[in-house]
Formats: sequence, structure tokens, C-alpha cells
Amino acid sequence: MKTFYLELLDSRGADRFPAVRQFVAADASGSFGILAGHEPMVAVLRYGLARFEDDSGQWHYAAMSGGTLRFAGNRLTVATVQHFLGLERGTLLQQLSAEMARTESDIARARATLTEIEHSLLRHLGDLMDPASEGSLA
Amino acid sequence: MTDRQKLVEATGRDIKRLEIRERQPAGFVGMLFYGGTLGLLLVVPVVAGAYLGRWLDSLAAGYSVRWTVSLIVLGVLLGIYNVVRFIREKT
Repeated sequence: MKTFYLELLDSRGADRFPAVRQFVAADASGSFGILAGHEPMVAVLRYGLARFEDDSGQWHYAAMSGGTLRFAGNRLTVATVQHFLGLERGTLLQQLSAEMARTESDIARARATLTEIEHSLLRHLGDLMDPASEGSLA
Repeated sequence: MTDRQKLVEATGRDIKRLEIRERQPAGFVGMLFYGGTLGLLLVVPVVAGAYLGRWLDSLAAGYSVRWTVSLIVLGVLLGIYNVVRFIREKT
């Protein structure tokens, strides 16, 4: 069976698969598939699951936060903000949920630290502006 | 809803949809094509073997069914191998 080259790009890096038999994804109009030798095409992918089969018959699943897809010269390039790859659909969703929860927690922690820095800065500015504390600062 | 929640929700929905589709039994036309393909995979090598064997036997001097029988048996084995391979690929 004929194969094509697949490149998945996101903000963290790239995953490359040199021999892919078929790729299935979805855009606003619905689900579609790509085989080797397809006519050149461009599509805007929607949020959700894409899947592809490699030359050994193994299916890979990728959760994608939208993105663009380009197929030309037997080479498929998918550019997304973030994608998560997995071989099992069930575990992919669990991994994705865990990763998202971790990201949410990191963001919340960063926000809390930022707020703390802001408060600390304001406190110090208040101290500087307060004439009563001039002596203590000197 | 954040982008992250949207991604988890859309992925979960797609996975559920895929699983439902895979669990659905094949329709009548699907079964017909599947059965037809299996039948052809089994029968074509047998018939081809029989014709080839008959032709080879006609070339031999006197009465002979050696080639016909041998190639029919070979065709049956090849047909079974084809069917097994097809089923393995599909499952």
C-alpha cells in the first residue's frame, strides 16, 4: 500500500511519521480522509480527534486544538497550537484531561505568584510614599 | 469555556462517536460486499486451477487428470490462505 509523509507541528515541537497509509480528520464540513497521492489540499481543522494509520497497520490518535492541514507532494503537514498523541483512544482522553488539569494548575499557580508580587510591590511603594516610614527606610 | 476544556470535550465526543460507529453491526450492503469478497477469494483460485489443470492435462498424451486434481487442491489451499489473510487484515 502506498504511503505518505506526515508532519505534526505544534508550539512545543514536531512529530514526524515517514510512512503513513491514511489520515482521517474533521473540519467544519465534517470528517474526511487522505490517502497517498491525494490532490493538493488545504483545510482548517476543528477541535477534536484526528487519527492515522502507519505502514505497520498501527492506528495513532491525536487530539488537536484546531489547526491547519496542508497536503502537497505526498507530504501532509498539520500545524496546531497543541496536539496530544496516543495509541489508545481511551487512555488518550485520560492523558489529555490530566495534562489539561496540570496546565490549569500551573496557570493558577503562576497567577497567584503574580498577584503576590503585585501586592508586595504595592506594599513597598506604599512604604516608600509614607513619610512616617522614611526614618525606618534610611 | 476555555480552549483546554473545549479540546477535552471535543476529543471525548469524537472518541464516543468512533466507538459507537465501530460497535454498530454492518449493514446489508456491507455484509453482501464482505461475503462476496470472501467467496471470490476462495473460489477464483480453485476455478483458475481447474481450468489451468484441464488445459495442461489436454496437452498430455492419453487420459490424465493429474494436473487438474493437483491444481484444484492447490487452488483450495490458496483460497483458504487468501480468506484467512483477508479476515486477519479486516479484524
